[in-house]
Amino acid sequence: MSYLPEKILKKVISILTLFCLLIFFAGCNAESNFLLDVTEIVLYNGDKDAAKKEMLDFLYEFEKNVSTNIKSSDVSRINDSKAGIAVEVSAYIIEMLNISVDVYNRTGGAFNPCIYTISKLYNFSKKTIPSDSTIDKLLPFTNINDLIIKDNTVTKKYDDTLIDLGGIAKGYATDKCYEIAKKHNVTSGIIDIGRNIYLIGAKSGNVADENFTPFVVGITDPRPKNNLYFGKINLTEISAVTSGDYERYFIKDNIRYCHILDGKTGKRPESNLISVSIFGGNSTLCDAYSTALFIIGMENAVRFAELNSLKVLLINDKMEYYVSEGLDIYNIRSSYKPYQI
Amino acid sequence: MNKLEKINRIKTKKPFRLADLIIVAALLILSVSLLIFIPKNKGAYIEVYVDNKLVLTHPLNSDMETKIYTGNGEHYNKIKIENGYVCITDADCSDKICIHTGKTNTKNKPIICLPHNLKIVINGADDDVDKVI
Repeated sequence: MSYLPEKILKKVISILTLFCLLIFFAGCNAESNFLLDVTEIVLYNGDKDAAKKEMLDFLYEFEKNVSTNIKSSDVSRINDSKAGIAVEVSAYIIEMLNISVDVYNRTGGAFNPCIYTISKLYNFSKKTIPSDSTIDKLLPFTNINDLIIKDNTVTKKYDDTLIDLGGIAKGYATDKCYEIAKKHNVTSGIIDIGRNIYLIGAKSGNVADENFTPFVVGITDPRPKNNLYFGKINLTEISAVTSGDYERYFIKDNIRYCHILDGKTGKRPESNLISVSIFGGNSTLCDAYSTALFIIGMENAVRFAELNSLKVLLINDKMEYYVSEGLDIYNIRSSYKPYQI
Repeated sequence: MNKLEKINRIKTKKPFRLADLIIVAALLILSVSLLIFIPKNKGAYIEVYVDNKLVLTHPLNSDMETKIYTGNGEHYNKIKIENGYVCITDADCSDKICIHTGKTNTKNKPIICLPHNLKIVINGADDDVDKVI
């Protein structure tokens, strides 16, 4: 070592350092942290630091497998695969797909991760939509029941089938984080993954003792004026999810196209709903059903919610709202009127 | 100068010199005036982060409009504070979700422009709402 001239050694070290820095920063930019960017976790008791760390670690890995933008993700590998090839994926991808098949069949195909085959062609920045003939050509490849889900593999029937688990992923991730919280004896806290939330216990006190302070949740007004909320609701130990047409959308020829497409037609839903909120213990189902109900319209959604004992808030484009029995939403903005069934 | 001489010099000199006293006095005056002149209760204010770095703060009770440059100056978001609310009025991002998010005056509803890695959060505001969905 002492035989190497000092000058050369110094040069080598500085080049190596620069190289390492470059690799470090390149690595930082290569992966999106979308889920983590929109996640907020606040835990009040139990082993909260360990719980939060485990949740964030999980979300980081989860994102890497679920994202349609990451080439190496399970979802991308399914999408890039040829028909007949069994693609090995993580257990939670299998779980989400199985739940999706169930919800697809219960909702007449309204909720459909395979509609990505067509929805991918809607361009929100250029405001372009695929033609009817393109949609008709691709529709036969969008039946989720054509996927062969066996053990830990997924096999497509058609090359062109593409899936996107975005309509269920946040709810599923929220449930997983909730399980982590319980495992660490956290009985009070809030998990918020892109506004897909789970309220654990109460804000303070014990729900069982009846001496507690509930969480107060504001529901976004889908057509606000000088306000933020449609109304408020007090909640404990429950998940809450909203699907609406007011964040991801574009207007073309006076028609609003939002990110939710009818899973059966590949087109803009012929629905009059502008916002659907669901409250329940299973965040995965809340997430999936909020999309499905948004698509099937007020009348069908009311019936579906009643038949399946779902607790929902539905708001339509006539500024009418429906609230399931047992839900107490207050401070409702006066420009909204109750929906007459 | 060798060590013995240095030590002797330190031993014989006075422990405190005038310069020390002046420095201490100046620091005391500075810290007291900071305490007096920085308002303790700022009220609600926004914090704007770009690439996780704080680039702007501004009280919500004072109307303003400004343009924030992001992505190495190649992109922008226009921020407006009016009537106690903040919103993004214009941006050249691909999805415009930040504009659609509308206005906010609560920490429970931050405004995020993911494509530009820009985030507006609100602090110092009382809100009885714990979360927004």
